[in-house]
Amino acid sequence: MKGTYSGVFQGSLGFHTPLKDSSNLTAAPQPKAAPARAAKKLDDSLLTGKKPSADIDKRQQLATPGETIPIVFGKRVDDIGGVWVQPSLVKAGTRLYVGSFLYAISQGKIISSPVKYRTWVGPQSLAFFADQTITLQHDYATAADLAAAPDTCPIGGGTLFCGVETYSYLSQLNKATAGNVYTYSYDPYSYYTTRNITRGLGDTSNTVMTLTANDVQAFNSDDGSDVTAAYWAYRGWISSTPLQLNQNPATLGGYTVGTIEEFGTLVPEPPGFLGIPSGARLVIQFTLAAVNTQNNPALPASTGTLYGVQQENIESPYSFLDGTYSQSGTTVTVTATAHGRIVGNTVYVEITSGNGVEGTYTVATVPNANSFTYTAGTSLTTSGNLYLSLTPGADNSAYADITFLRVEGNIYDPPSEGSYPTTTKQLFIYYEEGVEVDLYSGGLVSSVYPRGASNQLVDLAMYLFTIYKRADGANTSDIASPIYTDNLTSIADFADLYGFFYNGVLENAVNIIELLSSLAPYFFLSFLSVGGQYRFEPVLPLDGNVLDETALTPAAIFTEDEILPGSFSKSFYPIADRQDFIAVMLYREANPSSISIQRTIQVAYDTTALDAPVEQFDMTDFCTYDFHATSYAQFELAKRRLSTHSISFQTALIVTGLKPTDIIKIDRQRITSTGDNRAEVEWYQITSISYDAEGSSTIQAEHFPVTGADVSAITYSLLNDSFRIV
Amino acid sequence: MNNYDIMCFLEYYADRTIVRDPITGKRSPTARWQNFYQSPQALSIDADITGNYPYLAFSADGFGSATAASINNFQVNAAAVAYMVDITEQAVGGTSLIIASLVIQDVGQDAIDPASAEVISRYIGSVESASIDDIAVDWTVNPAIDKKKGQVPSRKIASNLIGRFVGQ
Repeated sequence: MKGTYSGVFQGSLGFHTPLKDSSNLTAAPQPKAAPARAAKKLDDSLLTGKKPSADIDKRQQLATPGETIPIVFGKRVDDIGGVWVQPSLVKAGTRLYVGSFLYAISQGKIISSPVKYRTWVGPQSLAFFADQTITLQHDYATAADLAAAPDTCPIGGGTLFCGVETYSYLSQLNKATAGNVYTYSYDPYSYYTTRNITRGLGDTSNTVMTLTANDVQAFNSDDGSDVTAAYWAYRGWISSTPLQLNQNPATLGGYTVGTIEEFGTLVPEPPGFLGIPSGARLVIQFTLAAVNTQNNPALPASTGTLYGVQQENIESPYSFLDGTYSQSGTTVTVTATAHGRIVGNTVYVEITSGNGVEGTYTVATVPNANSFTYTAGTSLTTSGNLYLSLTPGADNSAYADITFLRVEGNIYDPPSEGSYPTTTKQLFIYYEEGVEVDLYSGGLVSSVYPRGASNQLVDLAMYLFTIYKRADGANTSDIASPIYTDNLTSIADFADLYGFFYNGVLENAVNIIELLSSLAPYFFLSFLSVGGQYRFEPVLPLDGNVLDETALTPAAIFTEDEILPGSFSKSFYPIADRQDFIAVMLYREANPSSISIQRTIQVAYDTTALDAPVEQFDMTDFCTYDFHATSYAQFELAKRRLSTHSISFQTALIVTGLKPTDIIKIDRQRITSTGDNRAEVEWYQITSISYDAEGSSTIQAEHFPVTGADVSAITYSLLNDSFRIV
Repeated sequence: MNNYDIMCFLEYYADRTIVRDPITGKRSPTARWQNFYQSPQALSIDADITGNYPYLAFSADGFGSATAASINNFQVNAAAVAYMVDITEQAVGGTSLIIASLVIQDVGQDAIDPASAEVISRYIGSVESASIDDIAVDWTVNPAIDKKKGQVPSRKIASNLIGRFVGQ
């Protein structure tokens, strides 16, 4: 039956029954969209996720402003754990056709150094790329570093630049095919350096691409207007002026494959150049007229194939970055035209010739606009060429406390014939050790918490409170700590013993309390607020660090004398929460040798039907150990099967220091009006306790069954019953 | 059931990072009060603090423990005397620390009785919000850690972290 009903409905007896809710009879309209959610949707999107997805042969994801930088937390211990990450690309650059790529890996400082054999681009390890010169580096600066010197650029290497004003890039291949239309653009008010590389196969020493000025058009990107005539005049061309690409002026033939032709640097034009406003670009478009394989008749024709020339460009509003240096003792004098630096600026110096030492230095003096000096750490007498990479006076504090991965080398997609791509496939990297944190799990050593990578939930919790500025290692008094710290080492020992580790990428902006509350059960813990201070407590009784299989002693026993009359109530769990089911556990494999994948494991009691209801638990955010996933499944199954109800009662003020997770015993008489009185003895686990000013306490607790020997029935089942694990 | 006197000892620390005296190692509050005896009392059953708590008329409610995700606020209602108004204005903002101790002891004692007094619950938190009128000040004390907002990771991709990906 189609259509919608409204108003009244005729019942079986002929009455007209008003419909209060027609939701069963009509389809729901599309729900409204929440406003201002673009960044959240980006964080939630699988396309920008930082955990490797099933498709590893995909294009590199680019970072977007507002995107959350993840936290890579974990540590591989006894062949368990470590973390695979698929980071976003934040910057790309090129110098002499060697690519540079910068990826945002993690908030905090990653402990592991990146290595090629654990870094993949697409489905291939970098260790086996054709370019064997690829290098990997981490760049990291603390918040304190950048607060002290905000113009320091933490990005090393000299080919990637802090800020957005200076950048380099490769153009697409300008193909050596007559009729091919080629377009490029640049900001005429910036410094603009360009060079070409010859791409091809075999001998191209006499092959030249030709055209005339008549094949060149120029446009103003601001309004699309044609400024060709003005551009010709600027270049001194007439329509028949011959132009060549790949022509070697020394031979009048062509460049050989791999030769780089330098065109030098264009300096900024005066305002109003060709009518182009500031911020717009000059767009040049030309059409290749012909390809001449014997440009110099005096030389033999080329026998190879010229694919074309590929342009590399660097644009910057600042005076150009190439220069020379002369070092005497520790004083280094740099000569670079209109360098723009002032005393106190930090510069990254890349030495390209001579014996100078590369590094980050502070400008000591500025004798004139074209030279400055800095003090080197090593006394030398040398000179040569250098390269300056810093945008002068920039505030780079946004780089604070982020680990960046810098890759230098050719990781572009393998080119097909005649094609030189400028894009790469997605990078994946494995870290044995994630961010450096205070190791509360190991306790204080000489009054401080040692620092290092960790796979302990308690260390993650304290790290999150640390970056939220509510904890500061041993500087925070124990009583002012957001989390009760005295039991963290014993909880970590328990987790170590059973393999309950956190190895994962925290990639979405989450609430700390919500996160820890939802994670704790998977680690057999409860995250509590005990008198205003947060606290982890095991959900099953422990004997030392192991699950307690001995007879339990209740923390308190409540009899009729302690329970306020009329305050006791019992609520049974719904049947849906008590029936046997199959637990499907999701976790993530962390094999250093291959990109991690999501896995499942099914757990059920041996006696559970194969077609029993299924419930799925997602541990992929942190679990890399099948035993961990299986253990939690067994706990969940046992608790559902054995714990049947919860209770609430009031009692006089408690003087025994009870807290949630404590095990108590209720021994009371059930007295009824019909006289069928009887004794009821049950064990419970406290879930909340509150005190009021009138002198009573309210306790809520869950049924915590014990065996005839007073052993926790859940623990006994978890450790001794037979489970079907697939 | 036994009968008890029930009282609250309240400590206020203006800076949660400075709780202990660097020399003695004991708690050193900026201000402190108790709400039972007119004469100042020492919390002698707590070896972690020395000194007297003067009297202040206040009520305290919310001692207890529960899951972290549940609402577990502690409320203080005190007379709006001038220095409480001043403290309130300083306290709101998350840098303060409040330690409230719920103490019971046998009924009818003239002062704190170390033989029977016992701290049965303690609440530690910050003044998250407060209100003042001509009669009373009200504090809502909790860990002052929001339970709804996204907090971590706290670093975002800033626009000047990103390079230009330029084609032609």
